[in-house]
Amino acid sequence: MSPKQLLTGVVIAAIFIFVSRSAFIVDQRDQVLVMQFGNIVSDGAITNPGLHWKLPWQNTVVFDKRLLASDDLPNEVITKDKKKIIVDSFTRWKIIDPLKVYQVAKTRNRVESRMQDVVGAKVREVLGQHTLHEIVTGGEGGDKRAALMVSIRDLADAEVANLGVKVIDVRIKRADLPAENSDSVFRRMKAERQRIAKQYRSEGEEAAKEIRATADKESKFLLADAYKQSEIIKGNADAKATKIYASTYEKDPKFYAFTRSLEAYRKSMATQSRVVLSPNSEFFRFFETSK
Amino acid sequence: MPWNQNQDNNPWGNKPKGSSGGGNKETPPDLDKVLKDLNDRFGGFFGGGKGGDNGGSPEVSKGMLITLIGVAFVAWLASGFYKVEADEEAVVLRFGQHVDTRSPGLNWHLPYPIETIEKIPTLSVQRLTIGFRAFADGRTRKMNQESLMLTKDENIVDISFVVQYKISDIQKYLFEIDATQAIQTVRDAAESSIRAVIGSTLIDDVMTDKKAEVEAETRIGIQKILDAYNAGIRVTTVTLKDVQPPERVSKEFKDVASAREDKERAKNEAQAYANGVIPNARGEAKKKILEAEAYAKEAEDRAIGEADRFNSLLQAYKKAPEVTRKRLYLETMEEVLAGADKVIIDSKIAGQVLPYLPLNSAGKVEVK
Repeated sequence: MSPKQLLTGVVIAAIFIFVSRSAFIVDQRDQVLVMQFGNIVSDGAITNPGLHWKLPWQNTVVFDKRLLASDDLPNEVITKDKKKIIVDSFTRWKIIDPLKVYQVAKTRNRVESRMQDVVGAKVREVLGQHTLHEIVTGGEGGDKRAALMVSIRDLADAEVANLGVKVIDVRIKRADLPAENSDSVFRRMKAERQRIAKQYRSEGEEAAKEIRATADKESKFLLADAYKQSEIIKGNADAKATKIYASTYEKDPKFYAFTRSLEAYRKSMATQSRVVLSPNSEFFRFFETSK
Repeated sequence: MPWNQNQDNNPWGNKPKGSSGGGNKETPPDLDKVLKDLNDRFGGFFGGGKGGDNGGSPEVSKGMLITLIGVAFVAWLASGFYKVEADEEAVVLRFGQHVDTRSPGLNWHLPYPIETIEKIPTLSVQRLTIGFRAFADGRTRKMNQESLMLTKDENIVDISFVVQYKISDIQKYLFEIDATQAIQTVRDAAESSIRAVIGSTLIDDVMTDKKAEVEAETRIGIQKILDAYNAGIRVTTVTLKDVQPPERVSKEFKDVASAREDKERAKNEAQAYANGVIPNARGEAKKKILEAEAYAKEAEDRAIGEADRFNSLLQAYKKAPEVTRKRLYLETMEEVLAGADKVIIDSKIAGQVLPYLPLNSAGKVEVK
């Protein structure tokens, strides 16, 4: 190999190294700072995606541009009505000023944990001014909960502005009672259910009694009405019969009395009667004499 | 010639010719010149060898080099083929910038490092369980932390549910949120919104007839949060799988259910009694009336009959009153006295004897 060829090889290698050290890609999801000996040389962060150039000795620091998720640690909150709840929240945030983030915290993780501290403090501060009922149910109208989350976010956001990040959203994921309070809730739930069960059974008895009594009443009504009707029917019939008898017997009351008496004798003395007779009676008119 | 553009094996060399877009603006103005110089020098490098005094060996090494570079280049181009599965879409990023979205099938992209691709399952429905976890072997595990929640009346209810969602906007999904945390995002949104919904609902409503409303409100709540995050995710369904009282009070809740049954049973039993009693009374009533009607008929017919008979008798009697009268009297007395014990006492002594009549236990007069 001639010195010329060697020189050419070296130049090619140098250019290759130069180019590969100078080009860098900015992803659509990222924002990039260009650093030189620990100082930021780019004019703010590079946010437009594509191929970019820098000097070979410069280096880049990449920050995310997207909405970032951060799961906060559960906070123990004493509410306004002195009840303890465990609040688990989550935060969505963005790095809006990578320069500041780099200056204040260097890395994303460190700025995230600072932000979480702020959010946690605001969660305790805001929720501490409200009652458990308001926090859990959202108060009257049910929109209190949303309003609380907005005010936590705004307070936290104001405080993290100097970190170069923006809090987009803070949301209460869970607001639970600690174990000792849950116990009393469970006891209350038990008592309440026992009350409801008892109520159901009593209502059943009440309804059953009413149904039975109504049935009894109705059947008595039916029988009474039937008795009434039957008496009316019988009475009418008796009246008719009496009329018939009267109009007939009135033709000869004496003869009626006679025949009716005979009929009565026949019926009343039908069996084994004991009769003490006088021989002077009409029947024995011819008993002792034939005249 | 392709190998000319690639002769230094530096992919950046392709850049000015192979790509367009924002990246070009960042290209230093002297790159073209550098490349041209390089080309000249490279040509000289090989050309110098051809006419040189080293005999055949430079010819051989030059041919080998060209072949080697050619093969490497073809291999590099071939690495740009990729397959997109039926339920996926692929996003093509050129130097980190989104330039295209490809549908399923075999595709080709400018190979690394110019273009990269990311495959996203946009067409398949993702399923997320909250309150429990389902494992591949069919087992499930309860997650009490997630499933126990406070209701409006400060009771605790145990809810498990399933959220199904799809990636609806691949650009937002990839570039607005951290796609690796997409599941966490949906889970967070779901837990937050169901607790807001349950927190404003009474426990009895949750457990009985408001399930559909809870599902709908939760779905809307999750979607609202995801839209606010520009997540590019659409929640298709929220299904409550299990809504139960917490284990520690389930016995009491079951008793309420059985008390409700007891109530119905008591009512049904009473109704059965009523159903027995009333028809019975109705029958009894009917019977009474029918009896009365029968009595009426009998009484009237008797009256008519007896009246008729009397009339007939009276007419006969009027023709021979004395004889008829006697006859009737005697016939009757004959009949009556035939079956009776008779004691005939003269009325003159009757006053003295009667008190001493011997009466036996049967009340009969013993005549000695």
